[in-house]
Amino acid sequence: MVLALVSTSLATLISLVAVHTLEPRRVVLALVLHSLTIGLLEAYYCLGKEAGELPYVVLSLLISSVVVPYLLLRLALGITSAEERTPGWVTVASLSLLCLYAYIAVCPPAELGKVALCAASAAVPLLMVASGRDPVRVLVGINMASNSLHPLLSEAPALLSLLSSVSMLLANVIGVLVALSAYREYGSPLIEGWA
Amino acid sequence: MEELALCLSAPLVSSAASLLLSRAGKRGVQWPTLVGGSALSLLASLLLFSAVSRHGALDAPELYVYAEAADALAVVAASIIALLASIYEWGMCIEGRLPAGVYTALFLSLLFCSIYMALVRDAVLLFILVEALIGVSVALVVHSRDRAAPEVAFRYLVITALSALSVLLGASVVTLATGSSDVVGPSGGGEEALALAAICFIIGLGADIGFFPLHSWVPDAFSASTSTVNVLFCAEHIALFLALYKLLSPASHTRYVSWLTMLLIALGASSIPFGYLLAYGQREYMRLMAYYTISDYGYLLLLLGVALGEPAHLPAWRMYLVNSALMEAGMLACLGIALAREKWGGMPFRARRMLALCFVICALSSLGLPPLSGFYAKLLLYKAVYSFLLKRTGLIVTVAFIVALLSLSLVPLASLIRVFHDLLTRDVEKGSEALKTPRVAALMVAPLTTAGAALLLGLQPQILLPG
Repeated sequence: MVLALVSTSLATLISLVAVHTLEPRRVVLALVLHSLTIGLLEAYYCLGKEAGELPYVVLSLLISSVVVPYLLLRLALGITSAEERTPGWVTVASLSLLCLYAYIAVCPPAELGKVALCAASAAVPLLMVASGRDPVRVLVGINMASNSLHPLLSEAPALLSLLSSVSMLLANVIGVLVALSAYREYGSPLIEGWA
Repeated sequence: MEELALCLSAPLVSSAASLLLSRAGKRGVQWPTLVGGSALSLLASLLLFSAVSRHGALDAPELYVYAEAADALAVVAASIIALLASIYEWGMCIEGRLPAGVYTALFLSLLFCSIYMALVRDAVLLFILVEALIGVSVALVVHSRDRAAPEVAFRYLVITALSALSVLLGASVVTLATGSSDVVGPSGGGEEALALAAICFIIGLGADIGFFPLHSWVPDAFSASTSTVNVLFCAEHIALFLALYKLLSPASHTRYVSWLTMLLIALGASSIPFGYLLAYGQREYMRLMAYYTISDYGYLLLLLGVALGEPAHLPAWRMYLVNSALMEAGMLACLGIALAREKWGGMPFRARRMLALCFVICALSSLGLPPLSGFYAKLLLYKAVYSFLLKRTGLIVTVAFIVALLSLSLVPLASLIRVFHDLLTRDVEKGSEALKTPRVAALMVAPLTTAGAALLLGLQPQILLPG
């Protein structure tokens, strides 16, 4: 339980750093760290379960911390992103969410404490989606939020966890292809410049 | 069990075959694969329906699938829509951004996801299917050569990916609260948790379906997509609504069911006037259809709320779901042809007259006029809403609500008659962007079939009420 709390807290801090990072390649690096933090925890818990489930968890970890970041890195290298300052409201909102997370971690609700903690952790990277006009930051935000909710699937069969990572990979592949083709067609790194 | 496996594997294998054939450099196999794969899926779903009708229900725990006759009928309807969309695509002869093999594979993958989603009984697998469906749908939207397609597709991706996270949160809450992610079997556990999960599912799948107030992407996506993709999305909506019902059913056994019912009725009742009133002002066909569809989702939500409270009305909800998807597919096909006629340099009057007739039959059926299929769907809807509200709110409120619903049905009549008049009388000049000559006979299959279905199901409505 302590390990899970430490891991989720670390992931939340990494996502907070990512929200305030301007350079898209560094944001992708933050995604790698975030995925590893959560994926390694899942793998550790899997060691105590059936031995047959470990390959699925390892594959899922590989997809979320290697394949998806690689795709997003290709996107970050393929387009000239416009580095923009993080809006003030995002800083205020992210710090508020961090306080909420800390409160839930210290005084967890009697029922579904794990869900509340993971939901608070997932809310931080969603600020990148809400404020981002850059496709890399938006996709990284979605991936981080999805990773933060992944520990909630620990009760489900590991195969479903792997399938979830594969379907997330599919969504990322489509997102990257759409962003790259739109950038080539319209020459703008910003989403609103694609029409 | 074999029928279930066949029903799931038919579109998946066809999709894989399409990709392999395109990689092998085989030209000219796209249309046979697309139409053949869809026809095979329809055949497999008919076999499933026949097996389920014989055995009562089929359960395959290994595949996380459970099918009753009504689920199988929904799968048949989704497969029919996909087959009509594939023939329509063949008739259109319009090339998009994606390579032919990839497009065919995505088309059939969407059918696979829709069929699986209609039959699945596991909340976590439903989330995975929702996520897979997002990827496929976004890619299909971007297939269009419309200038706005990439931006619309990316926004659609973001909104629906966030909605998938909401579904994941709901599925996790169900799993943690009940100890199982099975949504069909008996569920125990915390009632508050199940109610919370139900809210997550309504938000998540609501954004995917696109009902008010989670509809922001719908008009842009309708406008930017190809008409074939819009027709195909009608099959997707059947699956998404069935998934929503399945995910909400564990919460329907809790003491929060009345709140949930009221929430769905409120969402539905606000979607109907919102969609109809905004559709009235639209001049662009696909935007008009987008708002019209949003209002139809309103009726479905309204009836879903009633059916969750009183399961006896569930067959009426399923009938409305299948009928509205078929009629919208027909209307979208007619309007897609009307939009493309400029690029073909007009259409012969006979074809235009046929098209206008098919459109008006589908539109009137969708509005609920006798003797068309929609009349029975709407009649059952009004009966369900009347009996449900009468017990809870009294006669005056119930009658006022029904009268308001009936009056609102007149609003889209004006815009739909305007479109009918436009289809029948207005010819167009040949546009600058010339296209290949369409296969008119293939193009007319979807409008004629749906109009025929409206007439046939109007005479034999019990076909849509299995069991």
